[in-house]
Amino acid sequence: MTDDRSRWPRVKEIFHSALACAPDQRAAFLRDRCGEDDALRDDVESLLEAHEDAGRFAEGPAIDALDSDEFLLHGGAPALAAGAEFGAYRILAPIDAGGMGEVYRAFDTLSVRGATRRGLNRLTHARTCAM
Amino acid sequence: MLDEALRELGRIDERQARIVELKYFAGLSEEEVGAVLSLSRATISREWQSARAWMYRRMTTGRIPQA
Repeated sequence: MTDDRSRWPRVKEIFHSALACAPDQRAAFLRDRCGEDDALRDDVESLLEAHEDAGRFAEGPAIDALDSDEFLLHGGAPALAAGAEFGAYRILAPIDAGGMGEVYRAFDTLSVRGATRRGLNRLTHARTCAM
Repeated sequence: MLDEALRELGRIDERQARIVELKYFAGLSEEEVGAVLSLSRATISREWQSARAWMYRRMTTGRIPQA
């Protein structure tokens, strides 16, 4: 038995190879690659379906999706809009709001300006700050 | 919800979660993401494609594949 983490590289690899196949050859390709492993084939097939159905999902940056309220879980406008600066932080998206305040996803612009390897490593971690 | 899906993706593939953070949340181009992670643009493109499909499936069906 494998967990998701060990299985995912294989699922991903078959997914990408299947995408490179002509659509009418995919089913035969998947049968060939997955053999008797029905769970593996189901997994890749559902991923291919998701790929087909996803349309424009996440094609543009999250900031552009704010109009659709995708990230605002509670009613009411957030105090800070995407793109606003709050100290060294640049707001990317409101995440949640409650009695104690509002939570935003934000960038630490200082680490971006620093642009050192360490800064970039820090940048690649999700930076969520409560205000 | 997207945040939760991203955290879950990070547990199975940390590199893909970083690509989603940088490309989607930070709005970097694929070239810029490649520069940050020291990966080729082709790799970013490919990883993004399966990460996006995984996220979409997770958000629309709640499915977490079990082996």
